[in-house]
Amino acid sequence: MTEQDHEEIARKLRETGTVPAPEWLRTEVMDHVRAEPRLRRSRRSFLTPAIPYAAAAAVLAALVLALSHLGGGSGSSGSAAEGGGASAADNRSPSFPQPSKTADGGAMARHQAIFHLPTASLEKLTIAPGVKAHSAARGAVVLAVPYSRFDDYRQRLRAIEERTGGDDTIRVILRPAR
Amino acid sequence: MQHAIALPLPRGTRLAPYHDPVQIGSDEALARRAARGDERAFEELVVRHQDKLYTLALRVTLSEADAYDCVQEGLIAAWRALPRFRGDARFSTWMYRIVVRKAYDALDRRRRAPEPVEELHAVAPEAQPEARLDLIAALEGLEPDFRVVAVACDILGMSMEQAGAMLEVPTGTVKSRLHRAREQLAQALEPDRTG
Repeated sequence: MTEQDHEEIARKLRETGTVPAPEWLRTEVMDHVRAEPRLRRSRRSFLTPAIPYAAAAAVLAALVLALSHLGGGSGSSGSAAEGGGASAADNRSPSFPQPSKTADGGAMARHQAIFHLPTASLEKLTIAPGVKAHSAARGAVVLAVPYSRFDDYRQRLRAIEERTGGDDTIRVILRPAR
Repeated sequence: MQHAIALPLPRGTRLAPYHDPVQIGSDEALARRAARGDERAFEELVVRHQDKLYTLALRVTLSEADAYDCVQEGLIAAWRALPRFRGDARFSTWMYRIVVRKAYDALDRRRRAPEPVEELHAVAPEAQPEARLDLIAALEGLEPDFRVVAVACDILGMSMEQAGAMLEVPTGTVKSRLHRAREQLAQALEPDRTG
């Protein structure tokens, strides 16, 4: 069979093969379509935009839950979370021991410690290598120090707190850095 | 072609009963509007493609009733799925794929549960010469996989790439099936030629 024969068959099919759709097909299809648009629009306007946000919220919730289980609510989470941790520490001292009041050491005691210190004394501490300071909720400052130096810093801060005192202080949350 | 026609319409012209800018634009532009709920844009797409879709379904199922159902269900399914149409393929290819799947489903249903259906016998547009009816009858004698390729490429004028995308087979498969389909059509018509 030659290429010409192929073309001949194709030409004949092209000329004879098309069949027009029944006249009422479009009408029936569009009747169905028009019966549906309200449902379509409502689905798109309310559910569709919410899906990414719902997914992000679920992921965030799972992350927060996982972090709280792993780190006991501390660690390198955001400053707001740290402020929240400080607030919890104020209210739940058995779970978050405050070395300035309970002097015993140990792993739990290293979790965090809260002090009330003059601002000037804090500036000297934050410039030390490996120490990071950032603000937290309710005007508190979080000091993240290397874990190996946590006890040292706790003692120094406690000493400053006992030495100074007064009204012009800010709350300092001491935590081991990760 | 018919999309560029302006008023007045000649009698018998199959055109939507409106003449606004929605008729101007590519299928993809209309599809985007339809995806946002624009029924008139979708209606224009229906007008543009209904004959080809019906031809495709009819030549595959060989049943006017099945073809009608396939096209109707396919178009409604396309309307529902339009928001998920990402434009990876041409809109026409995507829509034909929906209809051709339904046509194959209809064939499968008939194979599993044979029931009396009105069979199509060499339906050709208007009055056609005998030889052309023979060609359509020969087309109906092909296996569906070969028939659909001949319909797509030779009757609907698709490229082999488009037919492959519609049928979800490689272009090489389309090419070989088309070649064999034409050969079988030629053989089927041969006795008439010699006789």
